Amino acid sequence: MGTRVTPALVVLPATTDEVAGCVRLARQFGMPIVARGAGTGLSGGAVPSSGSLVIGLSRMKTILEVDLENERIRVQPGVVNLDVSKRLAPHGYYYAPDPSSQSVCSIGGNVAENSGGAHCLKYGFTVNHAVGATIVLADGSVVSVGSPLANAPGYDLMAVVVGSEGMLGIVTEVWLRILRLPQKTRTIFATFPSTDEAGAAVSAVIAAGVVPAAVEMVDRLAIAAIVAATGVDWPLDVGAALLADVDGIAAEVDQTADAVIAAMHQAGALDVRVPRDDAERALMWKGRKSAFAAMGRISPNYYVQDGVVPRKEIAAVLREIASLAAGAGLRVANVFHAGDGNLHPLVLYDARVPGEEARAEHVASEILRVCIKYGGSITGEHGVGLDKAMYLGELFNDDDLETMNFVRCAFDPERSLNPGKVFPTPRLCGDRPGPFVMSQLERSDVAGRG
Amino acid sequence: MRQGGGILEPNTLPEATTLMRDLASEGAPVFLRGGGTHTIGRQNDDDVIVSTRGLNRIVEYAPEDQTVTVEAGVTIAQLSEVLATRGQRLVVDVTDPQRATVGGAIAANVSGPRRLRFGSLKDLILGVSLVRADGVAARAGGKVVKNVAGFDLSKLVVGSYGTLALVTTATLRVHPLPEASAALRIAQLQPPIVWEIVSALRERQLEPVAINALRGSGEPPYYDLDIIFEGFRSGVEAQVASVFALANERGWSAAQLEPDAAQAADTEVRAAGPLRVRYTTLPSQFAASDERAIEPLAQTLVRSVANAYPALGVFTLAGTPTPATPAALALARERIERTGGSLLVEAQPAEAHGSPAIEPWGTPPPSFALMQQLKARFDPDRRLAAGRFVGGL
Repeated sequence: MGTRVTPALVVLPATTDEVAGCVRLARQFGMPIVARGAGTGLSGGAVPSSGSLVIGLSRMKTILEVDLENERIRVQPGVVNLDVSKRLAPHGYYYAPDPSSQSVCSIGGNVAENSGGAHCLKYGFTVNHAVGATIVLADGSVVSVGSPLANAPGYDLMAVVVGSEGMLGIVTEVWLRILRLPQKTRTIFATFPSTDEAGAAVSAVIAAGVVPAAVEMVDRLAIAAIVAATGVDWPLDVGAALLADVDGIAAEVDQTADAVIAAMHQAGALDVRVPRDDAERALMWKGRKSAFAAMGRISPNYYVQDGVVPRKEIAAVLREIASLAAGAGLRVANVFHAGDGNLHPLVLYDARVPGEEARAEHVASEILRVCIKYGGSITGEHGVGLDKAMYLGELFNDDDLETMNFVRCAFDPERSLNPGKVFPTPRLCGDRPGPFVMSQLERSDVAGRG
Repeated sequence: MRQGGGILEPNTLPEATTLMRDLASEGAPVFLRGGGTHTIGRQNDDDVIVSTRGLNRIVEYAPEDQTVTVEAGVTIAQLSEVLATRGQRLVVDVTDPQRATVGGAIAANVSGPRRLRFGSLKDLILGVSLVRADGVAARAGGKVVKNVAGFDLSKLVVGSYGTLALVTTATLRVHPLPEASAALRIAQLQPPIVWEIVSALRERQLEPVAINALRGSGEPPYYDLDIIFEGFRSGVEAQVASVFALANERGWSAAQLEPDAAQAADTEVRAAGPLRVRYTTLPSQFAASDERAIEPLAQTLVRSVANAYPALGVFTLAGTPTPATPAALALARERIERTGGSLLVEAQPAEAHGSPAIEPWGTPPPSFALMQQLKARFDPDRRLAAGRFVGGL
């Protein structure tokens, strides 16, 4: 929360070779290295370490190759997520993962965080689309991992590079799978008396055998903020609303949209509407995607959480969250990916009021414990980063973390890439057998462990 | 724990952990086995075989969340039966569901034609529990469909052929069973026309769940292309109509057939002979791969059968090898690898005409050094299937 660290040096390389050169220099001077994309992350994963070299990738923003025949595209890490789909749109293709920050966040950051978005319910996350990469390792060597082909010999290293939060290597080129645009998309907006009915509606949609492209939920407080900020004409006197997309073959979409509408009515919807035209549809989605920014209309500060719970537990967990907030005298707005149980409770507070920030932080951490209690996760798409490293040990035991650390040690035995992130306690890379040898970074007291 | 014929078969997760720990303390080399349908490479003579077949419980099934957690030895058939009671399925195509286990399918990254629409097991796996080579149990991933907490080892073990750890349980994403399905066959196609059809389906924004091309042995070679649609009835019917319209327009002869008939190709390939080779290429190189890599190898086989997933760039060729086969295979591999693809020898006769066995994996990839590091961290004493994976990992 509001973490600020000044790095020793920031560089903005333009090529893979320059990135490799910077890494070798940092290594020579014993500096930890932190790669940084657009800086839109919500877990502090790209916050510099003290004394670090920050490698900003914002100048590497070229789309290198569009290969429609093989449904793939090769891009540099600084390419903005939405620019990939914009480039592909004239050809009838798009890139599926669509984080709400997609107009500014970059592909390199998406790879580091395994970013999701509203439409990953049907189409999957970055890990399902980023299939190969050129990466610079901690020793400055350059290697390609994964493959844009269906099968490749050996371990699927790309599957762990995606989501490794900048701790395994620095991605300098990425192969992304691209998808043909669907024949048709229909959007459905429904309001409910409370989040209970809205949660039941999500379960009813899934039970009908429909896999919607997206199902998003906003609660009363979030609706108020969104309406104030964007001017969408959503009603203010409802407990919750769902925004869903179904897409695919035109004839099928008409059938599935009807099934979704029926499920919503059956679950107790107050009102179900469909946008009159593409402009209204775009406005509805703009409302959803600008929700975080809209919170400024109702609160000077907020703390975003990113827990995941089994879909059927959504309503129960939202009630627990509400009671946690009430107990702390705070408000929580909810705007989230209901289809896959990925909650984004926004704990609202005023940092000018003494003690409020600490109370908000406490509520936010208790929310994660509720998610763990219900068999979920502490992060669905924002990553562990700096913010949630202390909770990873509540989700996983020491043996689990040690096993994950094997991967880190295989890629970066000196632990110089993005140190201090993800892992809650110091993790070593001792060479077995024999005692652990302190790394150069630790001897020079530049990097701690973890 | 059952024991017989040199095979150890733990029946519970604690038994599996204890067994792996005991084997670690003895320093015994271990070969992990599921249904034994996708074993590649030979076992070493002193290997202790650990079978997962006794780990056959469905741990937790949450139909509302479209997730299921199972022990590794659960067979695909057993799992499918349970999922079907709630109108769901695990979308992984295996040729022998009665024998193939979930753990084995994960280890070998088994996939079939539906991968086109649903992805491979890497895309369906959400979490795992493992027992490491040193006998320590660990977990990664989770039981929810969306999760980025910690490094996701569950995707790393997919396709690792039992060389990193014993997978004891896995949580997988499941899908609704389709309301309707239909298959069409467009027969007797020259290879370039196969690719033309794939492109035309994309152009019309159709969404087949699978495209399968069974290669005939005529001269010149031709393919029978099967296109399978699944989903809600309205969408399936509309797509079938769309393909018929397309075929009329371009002069192809399309006919509807039973979906089961369209799916028999992989079974036919597996029955064709003791040598089975999987090629992976760029999809757009379909015709070139057929001409330059499939045909020359097929010519050396007795009674060869090949099946392709043209939109995925995957071919499987099988038959009985002749003395000319190893050289033809080496040439095919060289040609495929030169264009960035790979050639995997999935099965081969115990002794190929007295000559040394064919190397199954081909040239190690550029990231091989990292793979060696990874293996060294997970299995420092090289006890799990030592030397049997890519590049002798």
